Amino acid sequence: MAQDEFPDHHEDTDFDNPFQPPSSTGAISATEDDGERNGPPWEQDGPFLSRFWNTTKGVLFDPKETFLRMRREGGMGPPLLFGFIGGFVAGIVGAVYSYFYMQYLTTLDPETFQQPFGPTAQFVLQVGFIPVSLIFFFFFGSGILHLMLLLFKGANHPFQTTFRVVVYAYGSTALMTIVPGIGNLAQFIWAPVVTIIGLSYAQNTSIGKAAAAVLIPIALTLLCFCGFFIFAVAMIAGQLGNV
Amino acid sequence: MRATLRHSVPGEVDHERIWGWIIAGLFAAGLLLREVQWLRPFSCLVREATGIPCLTCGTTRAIDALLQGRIGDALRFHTLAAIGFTAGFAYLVYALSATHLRLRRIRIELTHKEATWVRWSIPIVLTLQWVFLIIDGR
Repeated sequence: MAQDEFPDHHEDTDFDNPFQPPSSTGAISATEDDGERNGPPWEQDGPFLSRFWNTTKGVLFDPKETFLRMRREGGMGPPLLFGFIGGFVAGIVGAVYSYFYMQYLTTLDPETFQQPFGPTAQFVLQVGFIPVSLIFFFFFGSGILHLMLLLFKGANHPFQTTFRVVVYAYGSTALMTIVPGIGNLAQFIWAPVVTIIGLSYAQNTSIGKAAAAVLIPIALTLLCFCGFFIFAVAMIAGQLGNV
Repeated sequence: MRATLRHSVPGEVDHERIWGWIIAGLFAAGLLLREVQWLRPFSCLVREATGIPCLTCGTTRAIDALLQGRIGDALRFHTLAAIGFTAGFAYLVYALSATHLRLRRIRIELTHKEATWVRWSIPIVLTLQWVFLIIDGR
């Protein structure tokens, strides 16, 4: 087909028509991806807690198998609910840690640690912002990742696939921040790893392209000081709140 | 490039609804940052430490100028930010209208050649913007 012709809709069209699900041409071998994609435990029948915990365990400790079985499409609602629950629980615990830590610091040195709002008001604001920030992060983060995959010709399936990976990855790794002291650092390291593995198996692309899609935005954010500042404040605040 | 107009299909991801509200949220957050001084980061330490501005240097000033109607200043402060902000606003209007007035959606298809051209042009344009910021002596 000449390069100036529009590709037929039945052929592989990764970047040309992002709204058309293309056929797979990725690096994952057929033997690894010919199993049935029936979804993680969260999308099966069973008790709520059991489904949530088994999905979290699968993402954290066996991401390859979990994302090999993850459905690429089938609605954004179920994964969004999973991610929301994981993120909200982690957010509430983080807000509680921050509350007690700020109370302690304010008692030690009231002048230095004076805040525009008292600890209770900050706690309420922090908790109130969790749902909005989660929704924003899931969609904006997935959008950035999918754009990066498109740029590297690694998006062999539509946006919904990327979204599902991001939400399951974050909803599971967010719970690592419950661990005081090292939780945030552990999540900072393991969340990109899980997302890279998930994208490579779900989008049927190479680990290299998935890694580039995930790591380049993180690196650019850290290199840009404004982004680094915002990121560092959030990390430090979260880390101090977990001490 | 081929642009088509069609109604959304049931079960299809509603991109206009999602990205329209995301952009609205970004704009709201930006306005909040403008008004609440203690939420703002201080001036760019990358530039102060190395003498080289980062790629986003001038973004806030460009958007401020744009909101005051100083289009020339906005383009000078940060061309990509000014264009991106304007395009984002235009998309916001389109997306929220298409979603809530149930209008037909714009879908764009690129040929292989055009897609390759877009892939290459993004890093080139970003690099050119950064070089301009350095030469302009920010």
